[in-house]
Amino acid sequence: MKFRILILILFCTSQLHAQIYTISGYVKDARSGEVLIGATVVDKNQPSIGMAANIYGYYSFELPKGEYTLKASYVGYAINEVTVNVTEDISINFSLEEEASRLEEVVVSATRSDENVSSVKMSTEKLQIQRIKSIPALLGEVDIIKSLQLLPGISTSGEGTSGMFVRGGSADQNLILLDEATIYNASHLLGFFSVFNPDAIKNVEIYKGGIPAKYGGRISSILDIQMREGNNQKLQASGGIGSISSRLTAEIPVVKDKSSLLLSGRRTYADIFLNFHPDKDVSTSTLYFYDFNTKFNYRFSDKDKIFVSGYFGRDKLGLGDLFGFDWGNATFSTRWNHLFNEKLFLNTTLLYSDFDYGFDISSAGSGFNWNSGLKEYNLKLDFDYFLNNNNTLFFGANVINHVFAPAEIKSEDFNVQDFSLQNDYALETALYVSNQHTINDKLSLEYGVRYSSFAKIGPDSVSIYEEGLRKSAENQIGTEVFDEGQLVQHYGGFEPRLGIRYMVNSKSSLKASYNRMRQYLQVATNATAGFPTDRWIPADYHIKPVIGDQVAVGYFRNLKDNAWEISVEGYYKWLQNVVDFLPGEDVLLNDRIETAVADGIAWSYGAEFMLKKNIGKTTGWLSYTLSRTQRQIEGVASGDPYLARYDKPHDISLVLSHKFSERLSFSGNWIYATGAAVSFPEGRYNMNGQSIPFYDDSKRNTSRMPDFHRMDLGLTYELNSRWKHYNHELTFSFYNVYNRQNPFSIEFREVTNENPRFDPVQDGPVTSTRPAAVRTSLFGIIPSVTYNFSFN
Amino acid sequence: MRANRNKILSVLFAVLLNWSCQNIIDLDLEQSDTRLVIEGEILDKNTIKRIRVSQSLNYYDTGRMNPVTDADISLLDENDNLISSFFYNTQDSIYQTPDSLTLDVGSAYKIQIEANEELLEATGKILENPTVDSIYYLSDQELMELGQPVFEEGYFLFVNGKLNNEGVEYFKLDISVNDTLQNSRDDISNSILTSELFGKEFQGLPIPGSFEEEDEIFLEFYAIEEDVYQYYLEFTNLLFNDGGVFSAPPVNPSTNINNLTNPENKPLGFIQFSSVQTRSIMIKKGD
Repeated sequence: MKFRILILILFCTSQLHAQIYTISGYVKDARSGEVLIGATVVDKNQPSIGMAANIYGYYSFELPKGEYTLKASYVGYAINEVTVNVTEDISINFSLEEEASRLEEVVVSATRSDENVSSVKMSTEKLQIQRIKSIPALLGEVDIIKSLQLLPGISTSGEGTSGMFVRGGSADQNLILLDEATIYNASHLLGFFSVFNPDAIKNVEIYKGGIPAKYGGRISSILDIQMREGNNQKLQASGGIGSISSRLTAEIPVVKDKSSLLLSGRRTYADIFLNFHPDKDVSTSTLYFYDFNTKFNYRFSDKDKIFVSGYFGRDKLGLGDLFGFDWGNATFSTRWNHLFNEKLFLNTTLLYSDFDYGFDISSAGSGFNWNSGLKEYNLKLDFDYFLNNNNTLFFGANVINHVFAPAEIKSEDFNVQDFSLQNDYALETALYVSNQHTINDKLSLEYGVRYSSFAKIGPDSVSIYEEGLRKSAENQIGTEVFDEGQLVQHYGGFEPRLGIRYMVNSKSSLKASYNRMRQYLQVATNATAGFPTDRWIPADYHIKPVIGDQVAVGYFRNLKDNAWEISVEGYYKWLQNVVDFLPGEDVLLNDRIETAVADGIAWSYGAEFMLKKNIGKTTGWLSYTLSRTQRQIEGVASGDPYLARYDKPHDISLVLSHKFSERLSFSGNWIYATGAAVSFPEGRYNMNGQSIPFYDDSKRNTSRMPDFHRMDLGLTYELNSRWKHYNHELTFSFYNVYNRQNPFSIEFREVTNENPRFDPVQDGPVTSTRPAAVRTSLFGIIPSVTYNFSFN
Repeated sequence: MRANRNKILSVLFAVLLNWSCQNIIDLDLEQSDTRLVIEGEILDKNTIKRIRVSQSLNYYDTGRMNPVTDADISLLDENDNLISSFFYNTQDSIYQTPDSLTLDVGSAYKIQIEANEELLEATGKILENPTVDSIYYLSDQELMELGQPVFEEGYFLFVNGKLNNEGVEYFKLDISVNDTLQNSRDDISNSILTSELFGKEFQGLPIPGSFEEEDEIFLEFYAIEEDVYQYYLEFTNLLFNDGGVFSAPPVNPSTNINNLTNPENKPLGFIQFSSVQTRSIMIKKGD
């Protein structure tokens, strides 16, 4: 019965009364051939009839027999109109010309001008790469994730770090996709930079709530990043020379209009400067990272297109020949777009993701190599079915094979025996279906469901503990051994998704959403910021998957012909089976992780306010987030609720850009956030000859770090060029212009001679010693300059 | 292995934090009532056994901890037979046994403390020490000639020997150079060892630190139980905890002393039951 009602709803608004034909095709950039994600194609006289292009630039909608003027538009591009006589299904590809840069028409939105109001989507932010590049950056390194941290509901763990905390979720609850491949550790240099080279990136979209059924696997957010395809019209190169790194990108048309190749690389050179440092510990250090992105595409026909892309990045740290430490991601994506007909679009994706790290400790008599990693093999089928103008169905399937190799230690020294932790294997599968359903001009829905399943499979060896007692070595009563491929534990369940948009009038709308997410992998860490050695653990016999539910409501209004956007969103999120470390536990070489963690619940709620200006000489946004994030886990803080460390009730971001002239533009941002929730000592004592603080173990995070605020400024000046095809510019960045000493950490320890860095051995006689609070501030004012260039 | 991580991470951050700025700041801290602090060492060798019982301080207090002078302390065997009572030595502000005592390796013992109207108890086993066959040193030049990595100049100690207990063993190694105990937080971090990656025999196992000519080095090897090792591990984690985003939330080290009267109110500190063996070696000039 329910199924019949659904079918009835799907079709009741369809146009069954006339001869209907399908208009479909792709929307591309005329100069580069890159598809324009989200470009709209509509009937000029009935703008409500039309469609936004999907992430492959494909659109499809229906019109009755007749003559129409079709209008293709994309913000920042000149409108393209075509008059057609519709007597049959028609395929029309649009090539849009980028508008000449006019002073009064600077545009920073990547979507249709009223999408903020008209789309069913909420809790979603899209950032155009040009906007990201305009934001002043630490050491001039344009950083996608740090730019996202300026948006409401997204915060950082600490100054300069690139971990994201979305609506009270922890850093491991964000699914970060690069061309659909999972990036397991998106950090360079211990988290101070992210792995995304902005020159290789085309589109950045983050879902904080109202997550479509297509996505799953993480409960807090989906960060979907698409790499550029490269220019298929003519050879193009661009790059930059910055304070700590240089970049170079080449776009090669392999077959004009059909195929292109993108090659993009970035490498830091801080290690060169380290050689001149007077401190031997520093001068013998290795410290660099690199990224390499590549993408190839080939259009066989309008019905078939393939994309092959890869990312390879690595960090290297070392201290002389004493030890080395390196980590990196590798991803490989192969996608095949196939049009069965004008209405049915299929994207088949084969993905490989790899993250690994290694230590190399060279110590006489006890040296060893330590390697750890995880791999993901992923197959996805995503169908878009343009049923009619009021219904677009999305459905598909996903199979992921996970392999975790948490630690393997090898040594050639007699004293150190080879050691390895047991590998983990798991199979994650999902099916989903959803529908974008326009009921009428005022009411639109997007509803769907995802069914996800997770099978932990052998070989495995599971510790069995006495029922009702804490899981510990003392309470272990046996071990259950599972053979290769044997099912160890299975979890699964439905994940309903719902989005509603009600147009109050042509300029404002009310929206609501609900989503349930299931997360089968977690990072086992007792720190807040991500670290390369963090261990990803799958749900298993003892550790259950995290389940997260979120409801959100919002009011969206655009002003002055969509130049201004105002939005207010409220959300409430509640999580089950969240794990936290029991006090004093560690998982680094722990084969019984269940003994070190306990599970519980978490919840967060908040309101996000956003005022954004997208068009004009001056663009930018002002956002304010009021929020609270708490957890309650048996065995931690006496089992009482406690604040997450990243709980920051007040978070304000002001981001501005102003174009003074064709050549000169200014940018700036100011951020303010309540200090993080932390534990401060309640006293001290002496033990083992050390003064050591003590804490109230029945509480956690009841104190606050000082509030954080900072202003950054940037200036970009386009230089004269002698050559027609060569453009170049200088970008000046000033990080932390008023030199605010924001605390990165506060350490409680003894200081000597009132100097936190005093070394009694090197610095002379000791005149005083006392316990103190020592604040470490990472970055004072940091000026930097970057030279950017392009050939085309 | 896990203790090494603190050092590795601290070196990594030293590189990164080289540009950072550190200041002493005034921060109002909520202070709790004083807590009982107990530090004791119960060794196998024929010594007077000592236990210090004190009250904690407010964080910013610069004075010494106030001793608790009216506690009753007893040493019992594993069958709860009294071996010796402790008396309070006012001169040293410490509780001690009246006579020297030798404890049996392989036996378990118990310390009972009655203080602040609460009964506290710690138990532990005296484990057999590893057999140390020899200790020798090599200069940085000699190590380089052997193709071994050397990070600093000086002399380096190595030990040969074998382990004597089943399963993973835990040790603490105290090093005194020219009668000065090496006791910085780095030294403490380096002093706690586990055999989890070792075989039953060790050859050329490095002793942490570098030494100079004519240094007289005194080594004390303690065989400790896992709970005491865990205490030291958590103790060093707390010493290295900088309160930043890369550190775990700070927690007090897990004590091996239980409060039988009020189980929630555990004291700070611990009592180490262990066997000990000592060695000394001098770096000869011109070697």
